[in-house]
Parts: sequence; structure tokens; C-alpha cells
Amino acid sequence: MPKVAYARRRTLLAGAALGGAALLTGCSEDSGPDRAEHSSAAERLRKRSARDSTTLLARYDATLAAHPALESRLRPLRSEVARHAEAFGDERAAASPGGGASDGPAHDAGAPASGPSPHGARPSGPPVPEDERAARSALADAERRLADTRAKALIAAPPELARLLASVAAAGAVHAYLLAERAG
Amino acid sequence: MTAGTARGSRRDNDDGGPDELTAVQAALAAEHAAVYGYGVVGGRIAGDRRTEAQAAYDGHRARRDALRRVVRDLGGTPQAAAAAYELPFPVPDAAAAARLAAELEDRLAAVYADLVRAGGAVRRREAAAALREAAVRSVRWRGGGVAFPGLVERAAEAAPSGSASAAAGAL
Repeated sequence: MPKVAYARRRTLLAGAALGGAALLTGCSEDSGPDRAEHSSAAERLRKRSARDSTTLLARYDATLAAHPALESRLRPLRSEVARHAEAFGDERAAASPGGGASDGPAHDAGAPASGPSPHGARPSGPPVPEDERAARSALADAERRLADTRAKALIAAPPELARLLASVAAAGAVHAYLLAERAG
Repeated sequence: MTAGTARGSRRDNDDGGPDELTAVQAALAAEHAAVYGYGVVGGRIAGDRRTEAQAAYDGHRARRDALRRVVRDLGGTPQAAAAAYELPFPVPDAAAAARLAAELEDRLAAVYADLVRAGGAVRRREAAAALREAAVRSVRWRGGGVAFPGLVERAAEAAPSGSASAAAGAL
């Protein structure tokens, strides 16, 4: 009898199963769609997306170097950005440059302690603001801009890559929110 | 859910593949559930959070109505809401209500991610925006996010970046 009641009501998150099914079909099909996913345009977009994430990663590192106090706040976001870079890398590109590896700890942000170093730390990239809040919001802006770029790029991408781009763009928007809105 | 044999042929038109209608219906079903769920959430919280829940409720109603129109445009019959929904876990207090709201948004993120994959250009743009919105809302409720919002296949790979972990009743 509880079963009857159960059957008549719809579970609130019923779609979860459906999502899984969609996912399976998405993964199991090869040939045609798969070719689209790996067209040269798609590969270029994938590479560019990986590079964008790597550039963003460098900004995180520069910000961390200049503001060690932000460590606990930035570290989890940084490691997600690293995972994004990885997700865009295919077998060859997976060995992405610099701090591409997902394990954040293997990196030096703790060391360069005192004093903001606007032109130090990392090659290229804009200087990190000396003010901590300004540094955070500069990073938030960078995240938001990149999310917008990805939202545009996904329109012309093959289906799976578009889905990944949309997700990573959403993650970027979340980072921007976490960086900007929440006080320490 | 067909295997999508004819996919990918007209990708840059407004028309998506044959999966598009299915994906739009899934999004509509999730919005129905969200509207219902936020009704529950709103009854359990107060103050600023209540205002936030109200805004989310209104937003999801608007998306639901828009999706109904899309289904009709695609020649389908919009899914109706269920008379009642089973909550994934008991929601006796504000903390549980926030958790429920986050779950609802996570669920929406997933269906919108799928709609990005299945949809033509116009739908994609909207679905991507909705995914983004759901991801940010989820984080507002939960306090922390995940690396790949909406990508259920990657959800198990790592712990969430923020505080709370996947404690919510998975159902």
C-alpha cells in the first residue's frame, strides 16, 4: 500500500534517472557525432579553452603569490580551474603546460611571502592589485569574462563539447560569485 | 530517448536534433518540480532567504512558462506538473529547506546541460544561461560549488569545492 502511494506521486527529482539515460546514449554513440566532436574546428576550440583555463590558473597563482591570506579562499577554486584545463585537454594536450595538473599542492604559492609583487611571480598576465579586495574582484572579473566568452563559443561547438563548455562557464560564474559577493 | 541517429546534421540551425524535444520536456518537468519544491522551501525559511526563495520561485515559474511555449513550438504537448511530488528527504526546517533548494538547482543544472547538448543554437544559448543561473543559485543555498555543474558523470569524481558535501538524500 505504501507502494501504491509511491507510484502515484512523482518524485521531485525524478529526472535524475532520465539524465543518466541521456548521458548513456550520448556516450555510446560513436562514428558520426564523434567525428563532429573531433573536427578540426572542435579541436581548435578545445585547445583554446584549455589555454584559457591555464591562463586563468596563472592569474590565480599570481594572486595567491601576492596575497597569501587568500589561500583558503582561492585554493578550492584554483583546483577546479585546473580540472577544467584538464577536461579540455585531449590525450595529447592533456600534458598541458605549467600548473595544469589537478593536484594543487604541488605549487609554490605559500613561499613568496611578504609584499605584493605586481610584476613578479608569473610570466605575462596583468599585475595583481595590491589591495586584497581589488585583487579578488579582478579575479572575479577574469572569471566572468571567460565565462561569457565560453557561453558564446559553445553555440557553434559540437554537442558534447558545447555541454562541457556550458558547465565550465557556469562554474566560472559561480567562482565570480564566490570571489566577489562573499566577504572573507 | 532515442539513440539520436540523425544528430549533428543541422547543428547550426535553430533546430536541434530529434532529442531536442525530449530534452526540453525534461527541462520543463524539472522546472515543474522546482516550482513545487520552492513552494515547500518558502514555507520553511524566513527573512532574506525567504526573499531569495521567492525570487527563485518566480524565476522558475517564468522558465516553466517559457519552456511550455518551446514545447508547443516544437510540435509537442507540454508535460503537466504532477499533483504532488515526493520530497527526496524530509524538510522539517530551514537547513533542510536550503538543502532541498540546492538539490533542485543541481537537478536543473543537469537537465539544462543536457539541453545544451541536444538543442539548436537558440535553445543552447538559453539553456546555457539557465545552467549558469542554476549553478549560482545552488551555491548560494549550499555555500560551495562543484567543478562541473550539471555534469552528473563528473560529479562523483571529486568532493565539492565548498563546505557541504554530498550528504543530501540521493534517492
